[in-house]
Amino acid sequence: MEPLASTEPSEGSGEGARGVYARDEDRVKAGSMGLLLLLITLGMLFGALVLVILAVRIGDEAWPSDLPHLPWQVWVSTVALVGTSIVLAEAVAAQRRGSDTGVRLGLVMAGALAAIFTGMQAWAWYDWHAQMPSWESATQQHRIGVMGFWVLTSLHVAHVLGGLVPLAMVGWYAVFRSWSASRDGLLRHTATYWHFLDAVWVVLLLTMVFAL
Amino acid sequence: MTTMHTAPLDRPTLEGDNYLTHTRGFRSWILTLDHKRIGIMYLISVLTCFLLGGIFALLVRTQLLVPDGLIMDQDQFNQAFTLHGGIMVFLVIIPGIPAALGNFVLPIMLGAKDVAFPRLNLFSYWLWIVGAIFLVVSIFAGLDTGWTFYTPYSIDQNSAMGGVIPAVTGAFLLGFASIFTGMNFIVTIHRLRPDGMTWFRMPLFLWSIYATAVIQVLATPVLGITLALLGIERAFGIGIFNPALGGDPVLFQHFFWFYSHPAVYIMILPAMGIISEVIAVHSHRHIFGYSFIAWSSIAIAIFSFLVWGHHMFTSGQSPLMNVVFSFITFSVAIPSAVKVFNWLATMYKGAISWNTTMLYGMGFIFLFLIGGLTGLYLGTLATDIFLHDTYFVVAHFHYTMMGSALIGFICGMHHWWPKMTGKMFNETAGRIGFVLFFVGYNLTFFTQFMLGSHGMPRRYATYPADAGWQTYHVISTIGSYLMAISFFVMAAYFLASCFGGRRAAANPWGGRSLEWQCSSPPPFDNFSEQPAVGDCYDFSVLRWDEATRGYVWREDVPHPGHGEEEAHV
Repeated sequence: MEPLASTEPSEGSGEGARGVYARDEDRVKAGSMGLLLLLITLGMLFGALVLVILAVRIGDEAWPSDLPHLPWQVWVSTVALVGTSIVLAEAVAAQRRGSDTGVRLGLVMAGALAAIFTGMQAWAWYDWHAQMPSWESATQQHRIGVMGFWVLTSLHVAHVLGGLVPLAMVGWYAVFRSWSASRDGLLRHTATYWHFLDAVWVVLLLTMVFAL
Repeated sequence: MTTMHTAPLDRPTLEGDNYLTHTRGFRSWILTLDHKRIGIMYLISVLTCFLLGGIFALLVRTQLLVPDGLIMDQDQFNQAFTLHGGIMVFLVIIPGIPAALGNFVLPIMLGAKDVAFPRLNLFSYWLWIVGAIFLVVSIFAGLDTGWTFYTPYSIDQNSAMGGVIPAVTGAFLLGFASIFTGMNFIVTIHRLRPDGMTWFRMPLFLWSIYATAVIQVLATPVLGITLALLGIERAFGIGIFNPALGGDPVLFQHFFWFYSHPAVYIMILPAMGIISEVIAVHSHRHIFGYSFIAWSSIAIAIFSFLVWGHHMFTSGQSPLMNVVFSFITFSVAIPSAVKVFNWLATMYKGAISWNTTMLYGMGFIFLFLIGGLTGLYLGTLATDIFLHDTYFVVAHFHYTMMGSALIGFICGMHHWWPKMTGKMFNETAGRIGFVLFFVGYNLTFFTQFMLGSHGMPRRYATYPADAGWQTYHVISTIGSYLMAISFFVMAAYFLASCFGGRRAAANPWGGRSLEWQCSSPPPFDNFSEQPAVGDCYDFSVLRWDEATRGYVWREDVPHPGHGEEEAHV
């Protein structure tokens, strides 16, 4: 494996051959700002969803007590997601220290934990489906409780699957390819995105536990 | 040397290599990362949708020529006005200025080679196309909910037919295309401004695009999740919005309008930015009250998030909330009026060019004034109760959405047409087109204020013969035909200019912002060196050059690009 020091020619020429950015640093800064805006957008998306559920739940005082229980796999997947976030933070710290091994180890572990999260979510869905009441006879509260779980978790998983793409890319570069300054930016941005996924998951979990 | 960024503006324009000729072939267009080509592709797509939405508008107007309806049954009428509204809002007015004109000129105005994320820009375009296909497919599946997708219409399996799911999927995708474009513009303005272009030296069009982009990024996700829940509600019957299952249809309205009122400003703010450019350039006078206009864009963007409840005065929300929303709604008049007064002050004692572009600019101010002032009646609780869901509302929002936002778009097309194509359009034909449009427009919609105040409800396929409404409907329909003719005239002279128009100079109108410093049409890379930035509204440094039929830098004024301080800042 090659060292992680910058071995590629600078990509300062930017997008294609057009040279949008004079320096790599400018490109990374633009990427950071773009990511921040994306996270704000996604924050609004998840925030609005939670608000709808809370609005329905708060307006309904007679909430039934016999709704399906959250599958145990949800708790395991929570641990896996928090773990992903922690090891990615470690990978970023290792990159700052110049520790190639630390970066590679962190990324491989993050990939494994993310895979565990996704697998556990799929298993949790299977269990949830098994607990579902008959749709025709279900009350409004049962329907909202059941469907709320599906909507919250599937929207989050869609964003987890989206996060696997940059995680796989940066992992591939770290393990099999050369490294450059722009990869530093990609690593930091990937870690930030996964921290965001982690924070959103905690909010969704609290919503599921206390509102549904 | 392919650009004219720091050189005197009277150099010959680029003959061969420009963004239109740099690469050739279908593939070079559909996979292009060039913001100018993406802007042109948006423009063609938006205008195609405008034709489609316009056909539905003419069908609606033709139906109402006689009290019993002329050409459609009631279900078909419901579908026609739904598709007219959906197409015009989601596929024409919202993307028209930011995605089409904004994409073309924003990076050039900044002296940049492209937007911050060119690949994301191309992805946005194709996402928009997929969303547009979903929305248009709903024509065949049937959609009669109105463009607002109000529950319980949209979850009623019998009346809404099968078009709701494709339509909300389309609107969801279009929303994300809009978000990505907004993100791209925000980052571009922050990160790619050239040296010397501080925030308060930016062209006002960029301020308006910036304010618009902030709304796109913050408000559009709320619509996305609301429509996703509506689709789930319709497909599975959960009981969130469906009153038959214990849900709350007013909850849908709150979330829908939390986006859709700011969306009104997504439509109008960029048009206001265009008018700020057009009024200053074509009056050849420094814009009056630059910072007030800039801040008023931001103020409008902020207010836009606080007024959604004025769409729901009759929905049963609490009287206290009605009063609060009414009060905040009136507040929006302040930044809007600031803009109008500053445009008028800019024209005062200016050397106004009475060309087609300026006519559309002045037409905008007139129509926006009517649209804005009639909005005050609807913001007033007592009168809104009476006027709610009548043709008064239809007339009001057409004066703001079409008379202002769409006319701003058309005004911008005229303003930047020479830059986009390198050709001048026929001025006489343009003025004839404007007169036809202006007369047709006011015939169509001013009569609808009368209809509304006399009690004609909106969205009705027929009306009583003895109500006295038919005369207004006939005048309105004739006006709509006149408008249609004006748009065909416009299409004819734009197309004719492409094939036989006079070659455009780099700066045919006398603008000072950076897009007028590169050739018409611009080179592939816009600028080979970073252009020098000056006061983009100081027109005193330019003079008319008969040889090139454009404006050039005055010989007795030092050029900022020649290493000297600009004398006229």
